[in-house]
Amino acid sequence: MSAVPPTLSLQDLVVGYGGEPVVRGVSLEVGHGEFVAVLGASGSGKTTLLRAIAGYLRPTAGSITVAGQLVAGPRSWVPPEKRHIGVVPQEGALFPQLDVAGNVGFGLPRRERRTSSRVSQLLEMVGLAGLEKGRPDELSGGQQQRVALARALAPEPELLLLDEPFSSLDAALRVEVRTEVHALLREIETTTILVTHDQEEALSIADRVAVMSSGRIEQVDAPWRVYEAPSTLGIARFVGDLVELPVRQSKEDTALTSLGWVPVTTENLPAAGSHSLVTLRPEQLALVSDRTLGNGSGTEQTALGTVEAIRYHGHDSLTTVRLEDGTPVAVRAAGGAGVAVGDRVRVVVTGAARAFADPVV
Amino acid sequence: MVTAIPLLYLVVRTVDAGGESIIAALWRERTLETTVTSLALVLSVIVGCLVLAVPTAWLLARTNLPGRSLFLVTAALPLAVPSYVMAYAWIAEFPGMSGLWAAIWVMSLATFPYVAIPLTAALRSQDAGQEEAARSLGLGPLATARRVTIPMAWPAAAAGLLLAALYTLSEFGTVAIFRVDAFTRVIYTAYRASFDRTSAAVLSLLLVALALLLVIVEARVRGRASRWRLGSGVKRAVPRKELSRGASALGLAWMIALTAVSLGVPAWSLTMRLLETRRFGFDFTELLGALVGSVTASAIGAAIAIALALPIAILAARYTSRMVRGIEGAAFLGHALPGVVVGLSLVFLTLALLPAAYQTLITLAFAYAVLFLPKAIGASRSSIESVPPALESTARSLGRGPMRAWFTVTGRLAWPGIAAGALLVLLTAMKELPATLMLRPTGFNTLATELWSRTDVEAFGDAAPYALAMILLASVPAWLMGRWLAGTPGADRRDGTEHDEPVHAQQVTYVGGAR
Repeated sequence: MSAVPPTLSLQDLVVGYGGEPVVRGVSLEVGHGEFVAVLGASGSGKTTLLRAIAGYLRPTAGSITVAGQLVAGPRSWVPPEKRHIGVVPQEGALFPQLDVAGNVGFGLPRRERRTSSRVSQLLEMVGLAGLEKGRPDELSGGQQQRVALARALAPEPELLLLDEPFSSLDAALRVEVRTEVHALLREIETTTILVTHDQEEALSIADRVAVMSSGRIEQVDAPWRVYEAPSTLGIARFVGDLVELPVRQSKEDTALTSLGWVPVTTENLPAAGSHSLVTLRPEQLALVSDRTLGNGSGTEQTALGTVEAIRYHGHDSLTTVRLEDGTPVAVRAAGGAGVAVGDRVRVVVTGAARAFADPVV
Repeated sequence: MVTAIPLLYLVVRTVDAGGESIIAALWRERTLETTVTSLALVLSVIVGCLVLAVPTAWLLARTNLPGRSLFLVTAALPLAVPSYVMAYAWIAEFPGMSGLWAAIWVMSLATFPYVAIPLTAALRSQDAGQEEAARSLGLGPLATARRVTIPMAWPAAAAGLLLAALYTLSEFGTVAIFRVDAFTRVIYTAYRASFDRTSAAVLSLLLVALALLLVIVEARVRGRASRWRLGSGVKRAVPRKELSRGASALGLAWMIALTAVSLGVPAWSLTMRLLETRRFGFDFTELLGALVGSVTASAIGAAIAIALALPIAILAARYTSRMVRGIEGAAFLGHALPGVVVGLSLVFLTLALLPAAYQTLITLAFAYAVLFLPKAIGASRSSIESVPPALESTARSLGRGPMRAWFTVTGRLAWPGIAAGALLVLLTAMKELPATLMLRPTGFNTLATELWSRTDVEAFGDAAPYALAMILLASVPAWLMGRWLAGTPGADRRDGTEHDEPVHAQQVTYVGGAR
């Protein structure tokens, strides 16, 4: 361990509500100034984990250490108000009986609450300068979240917890607010944990992503690693669109599939011969018109099929092709795919696939 | 509005009496004493309600106290005991009770559910988010209660306190039984003494003014209550506090003691008196006569009230929000109009304008209608509101005229609520005492007046069957509410969330009580 202790350290944490534990043995370290996203489907235990870190729930086993101080362990317990952890709850949870300044200054000592310079400074920071006298019920959803953020930052917490703070905002606003919040937290070097079920959100703003499933953290990695090198098939399916191809025959670094012989990355490769499934991302496939490829040439890594459906998004499009042996594959292209439903096309593999031992999850 | 006529006439009559006699009546030492007594009673009952209701609501809403769903029902049940029946039960068991303290004691026991029930609901339905946010911002449990929980629950408590205060201010039976010279008793005595009716009228107006003052003060302290729910997502209920063994025992002792004094003592006292009655024999035809009298007068009153309420309710349910707010204001003002004042004003009105109507059944029924019109409007309005207007306009487009469309669609669908409103008026009117005493035809008896005449001459044993009959009648709406409260699921789920239906203060007001 380095000289500076990690801002947050979880050791074999188990948390439950009396019955089956919801968080089953989570260990995680978060360094100073780091932005970590905890990504998981609903019911994966991610919010329970966050509530245990905040001190709203008492873990049944394991320990939580914040900035070198043990706050929850077998024989120790520090209540939430003494942990110096800021929380931005899902719905903001602003105090309706107070105005904006009252909300932001809530956690400050009485003296600092009266002198409003700190409060207006915080409001300016979150882009709400001059809104001191506003009432929480007069604010839009995005503004409420910003006030909740300013309120959590006011006492200068060691660690900031964001509990799906953007999920109640509509799509356009969500991207805008989270980009701003991310830039702000980076600038003031606040250590942050974001809990979310939105893959795009986690991948786009976190330094590291911890993927949670059934109460355990299955992978902690940089966003691109989680997407391109998922450690389980479950993660691979969860973080983005996936093309799954059964393996008929395999060599050391290639596998025979419906798309012909496909290159397979050697990293984390299951024992030779045991991988029964390879996966590709739709952008690792491309479409070529049937006629441009001469007959007989390039039979490796390609296959013929019929366009079945097209999902056009403007900036890109996802085309579903039914291969001749009946396997469906998804192909992503920047912009439009230039094909129509019913066209005969050839699918070409342009990257390396990942192999998994067991297709049953 | 028809209902305002009696009050207006009271004003006219007072002004007619001339400035000097008004001033004379106002500046009498007796007037000051009465005001001080009434205010002391009301303020003490407010304190009493808080003392009884706050720990109760906290135990029921925020802890894992064993048997809390049962105690939720017993905390609501005192509403089924008309307060003067409760007063009678106490004085029958402890004949030495009298004076201000006795009245404060009984009125606090009778009215604390008005505060406890909505406060329990408010504490239960609060989102855990705010309290958790306060903890994460460095506030301990006590500071969180002071700066977050209490300010957020206050509006519910304030509305309940207003009801309790208005109820106490206009209560006649209890103060009369304990011989407390509050407004209602003094007005009634002045009216009975007949030579001093101007004084009675002046005091009545003063009483109404005080009641209005309470309504205004409450509106001020309640502040911006209605807009306090932010966001749209799913709320997470505050987790219940796990009580230690000692704390559990203490909590149980509190709830059992409260149930014992608010329900146990009245039940015990009435049972004992009833057993005595059996020994001495009892005239059942008298009881039956009183019951018939009660039902007849109240039924006519309920019919008039619904007839007056329906047009207002239809307008309020379908049209402008300003009108709705006005109606809601009027509903609380209705609570502010004491039975003794309505009784007195109708005595004056009939004697001056229509002597033939003086002390007739129809005048009495009209008094009931005036007193309980807000209840009738409230119940009809909410049931009409729940019928989508599109249904009625569809009926119109299918060729039905406006009246026929209303009766075949909206009226047809809303009638259970309207009928419930009528039943509520009927049951509440049966408990009415002072206006009945003033306006009833000679020789006409109701359960309330029979009970009154027996407690007046301290024939406590004879009064028991009437008291019991009244409790049985009054418990119909309370039973309905108790069932509805108990039916709300409170079981803790594994993920720590609960979905309790919020209980609204408004619905508590429908249960009403004796005046």
